[in-house]
Amino acid sequence: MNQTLLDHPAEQQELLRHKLDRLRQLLNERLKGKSDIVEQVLICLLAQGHLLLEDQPGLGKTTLAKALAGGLGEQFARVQCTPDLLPSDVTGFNLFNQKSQEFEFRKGPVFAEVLLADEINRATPRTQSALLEAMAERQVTIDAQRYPLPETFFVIATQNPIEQHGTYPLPEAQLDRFAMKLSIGYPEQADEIAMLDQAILRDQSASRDSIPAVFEPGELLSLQQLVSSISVESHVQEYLVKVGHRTRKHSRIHLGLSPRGLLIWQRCAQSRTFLAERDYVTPDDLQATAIPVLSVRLGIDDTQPQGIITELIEEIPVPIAPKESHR
Amino acid sequence: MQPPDVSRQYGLCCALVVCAHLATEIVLGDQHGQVWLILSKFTAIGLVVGILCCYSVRRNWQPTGMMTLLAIGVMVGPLLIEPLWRILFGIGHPYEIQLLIGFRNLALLNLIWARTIKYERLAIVTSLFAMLFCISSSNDPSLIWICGLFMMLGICWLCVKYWSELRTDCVRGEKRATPWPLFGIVAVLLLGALLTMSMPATVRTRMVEGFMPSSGGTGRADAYARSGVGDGDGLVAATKEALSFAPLEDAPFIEGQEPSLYDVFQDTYGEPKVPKKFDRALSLPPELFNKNHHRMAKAKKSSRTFSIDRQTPQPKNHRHLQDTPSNAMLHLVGTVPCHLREMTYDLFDGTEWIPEEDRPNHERKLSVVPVNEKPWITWPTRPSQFVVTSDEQHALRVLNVKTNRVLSPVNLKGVHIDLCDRADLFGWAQEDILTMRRSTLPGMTVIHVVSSLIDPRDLKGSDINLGYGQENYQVLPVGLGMSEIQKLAEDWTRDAETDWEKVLAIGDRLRSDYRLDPSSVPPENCSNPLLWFLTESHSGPDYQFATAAAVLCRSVGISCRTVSGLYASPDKYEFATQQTSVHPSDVHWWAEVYVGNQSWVTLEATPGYEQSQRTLGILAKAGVLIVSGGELAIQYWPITLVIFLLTGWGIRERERIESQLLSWLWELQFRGSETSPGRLRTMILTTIRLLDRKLTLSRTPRSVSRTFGSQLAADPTFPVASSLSEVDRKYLSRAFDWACYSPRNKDSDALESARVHQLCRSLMHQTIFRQQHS
Repeated sequence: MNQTLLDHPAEQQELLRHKLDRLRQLLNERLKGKSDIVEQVLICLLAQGHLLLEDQPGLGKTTLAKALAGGLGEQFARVQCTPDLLPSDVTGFNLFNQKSQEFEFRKGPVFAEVLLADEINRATPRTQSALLEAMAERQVTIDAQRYPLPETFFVIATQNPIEQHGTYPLPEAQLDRFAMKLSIGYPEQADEIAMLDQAILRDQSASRDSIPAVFEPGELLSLQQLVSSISVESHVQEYLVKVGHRTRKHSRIHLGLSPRGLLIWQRCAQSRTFLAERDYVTPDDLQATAIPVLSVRLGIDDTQPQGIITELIEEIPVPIAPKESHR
Repeated sequence: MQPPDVSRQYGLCCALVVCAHLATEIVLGDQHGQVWLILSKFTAIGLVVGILCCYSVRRNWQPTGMMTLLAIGVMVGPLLIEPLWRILFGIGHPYEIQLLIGFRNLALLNLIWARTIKYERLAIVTSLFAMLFCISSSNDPSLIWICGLFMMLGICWLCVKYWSELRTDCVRGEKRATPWPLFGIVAVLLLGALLTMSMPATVRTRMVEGFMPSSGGTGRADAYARSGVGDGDGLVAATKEALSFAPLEDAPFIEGQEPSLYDVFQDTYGEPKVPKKFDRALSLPPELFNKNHHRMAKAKKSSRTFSIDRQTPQPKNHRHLQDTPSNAMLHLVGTVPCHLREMTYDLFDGTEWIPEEDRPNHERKLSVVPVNEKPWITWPTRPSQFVVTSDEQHALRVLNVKTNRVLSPVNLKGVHIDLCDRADLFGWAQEDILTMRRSTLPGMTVIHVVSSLIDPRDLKGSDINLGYGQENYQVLPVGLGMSEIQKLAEDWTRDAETDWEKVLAIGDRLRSDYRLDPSSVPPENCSNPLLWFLTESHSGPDYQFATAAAVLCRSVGISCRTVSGLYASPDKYEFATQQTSVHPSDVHWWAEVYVGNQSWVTLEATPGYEQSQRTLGILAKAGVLIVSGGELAIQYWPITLVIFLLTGWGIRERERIESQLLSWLWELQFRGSETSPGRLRTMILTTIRLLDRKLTLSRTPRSVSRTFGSQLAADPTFPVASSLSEVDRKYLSRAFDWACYSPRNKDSDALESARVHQLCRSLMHQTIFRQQHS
């Protein structure tokens, strides 16, 4: 069961790694000075998780999403969420065809492989929950008919933290379905200048946001399978569980980490391990993914959840290898 | 489902407690000796506890806060119920057996919750206690078998526990905290014990006596006592009628062969010289002169005076003067040193001491007062008005001396001889010397005496006036050289402000400047033996010291007298029997200072003899321990100095020393220039553990919330990493991560073991400097 990288033909692995590096490079070119964000996005992607981007308008959320979709060579769809957006606008609906006298299913944007749900907190809870099934189970059910979504289905949702009027904050159940929450943040001055320069050159080019596809169809899936097979030692898992338990007992956290959260966290750590070209997960991997993974799903009574998560991580000693067995 | 270790451990624990329970029942049944009774009681209690245990296992009973109360209840219960049993049924157990039952109950109670490790341990410990108790308090042969079984089960339990803990540790991978405080306590106790061992036997003995409640010697008797301690019935009088102590009917007609005290004195101190005809007079007021003159003549006639002008004593070839165990004059139980008084002397004519008058003492009328149902002979005493006194109890058994005077310490308060409940058996021989109205003290009979001791240490700061009392105690002889003695006394006490300081000054001077020499006697034709002792010979027997002390004190106006008697020396204290033997060589002279209200304080001026002091309390004993430890340290000062310097250096450089030791430890384990790939992981993990310890020692502990590898790679200021290049640091970091977190069955292909070995060695040998705290 513990399948590792070695079980795959070495050349194929090399090729996939090479392609992943190429994607990272392209994304870094598109989003200047945000290599750490790109890294986290890739981690989220390889972990088969969904991503929530929380930031101000104009910081490149959509750019990132579109570039990613382009790089993956996947079908990309975008939903601009507004209060009048209906669930059927997202999932699709059955339309009566006058000619054939039959109901025809019109697929919604959710059937794309990469879905960008812009300003998701502007949609009504009803529409938000329509996404729920799609995100968790990678399927939609319309009129009792089940339609499976692609296995690499990846949701990038954005939300604007400033505006409060006319927004519907995402419920905890919905939040738990995201693997990570990221804030892109403002770029550095030098990066902004480089961006401006690039904009002048690029104005002539036809495709503004898209980047050439890097992966062939199915390659992302095999990468994701590779990631899921990376082994995690029991003492590292114990550390993970300890942190999880601590979140449930912390005085300033009213909603602790769920078992699903633990699973997602472990998967994210595995992704990071893969990116670091290792084949065993270390506590460093868990710590590096702690803030994006935990901040989306912990109910923290604080405007700065990062601080509390950092404190929490610092409280718990990392394990060193278990003692040699004397038996 | 419980792991097999836990259930095995629980089973063994049950077996251990059952063993202890059976042993307890056997000890309890000792007195009845009926096997069926023992077994049925054992089974009944065992069944009840067994049912409770099953119930506890089934229902997963958890101990609550009531547990402590319950534990106290079962422990103290037997003690509380005991009086009821005794009153209602007339049966009971001695105190130690009640304690044993308490321990057994506690073990059984803990067994009910013994699936919890804490209670399991308690059950084991209490059952061990009970088992030890049983073994030491009974000699039933079956106990040996049970004890053997208990030992075997105990060893099995320890083995199972060791393995299960090992397994738990391996699974958890946790480093368990070392119980340093516990180690500290054990170390201090061991050190204390070692220190005690190194002390002289007398100090050791003084420290431990009376600590244990069952030390004995308290005279407590218990009808339910088994044997030995607390069994007050051990001393059985020959007859209920205590008028005669003779064990045989014709005993009164048998003349004893024991030497009288007078003989012993004569043999020890030599014969007095024939008095010379020279002018001797007493400086008495005219109204007292006639009376005292008459008394003197009477005393001389009956040879009761004591001359300090004596001939050289003959070599001690008398058999009865040898200090053999069989030749002890009496045995004493109680605090030593102890001055047992036989006769007091008030008048001194320059050569001879005249005993005090045998006058009837009406003020001190003897009466019998029962104390703890024992008859005590007492008399009215006036409490001392300004000094603290402490009651001291002594018991003495006369063996080999003929005297009818009750040999007792100063300020006698009461006398008790078992079954002797008539006051008219006693009388006053002198002012405060009690006598029995018979020719000798009863032999082989224990005489208890209580006296109130005035500790000289308590008088130190007080400015009491010691210049009152009867004129007899201040009388000085008038004759040749007496003015010189008076001058000497004034000389010696010049710096003293209070009377007591004068006394101390005289005593200290005599003890320090003069030498005890029993064979040193004044030459022929010496007109004033005392002056000869004080100014010429500077050495003499103990009566010279006593006389000098008394006369010098009187010279500065302090009431004083001399006493002859026996000295119970601490050197002769026997630890095994807790008693002190007094031999013929222990006859002694000393002086006493009057402090008012018929109270006297012993003034011991003879070097080599100690002043009586009050019994030490626990704190004072601790003080003695410290002082004697200090004395030992001073005695062997070079060793002390070396230990002190080494310890100081060790404490100062402890981090550096331990750090160096850790480096050596690493070298010892991983000699050579390379580690085999199979041992690479072990080597790295050992390096991490040792480095962690080194970092803690240098007060720059690693952050526990980060992995060693990440700190090594990311932090160039990380103390152990400062000597490595960045490439090396990253390489090593990778190796550390691999060792800690990769699957165990997986070898690293990417790591060169020689390089890792080399880097680890350089880390281990790097000096980590202690961070300076601002």
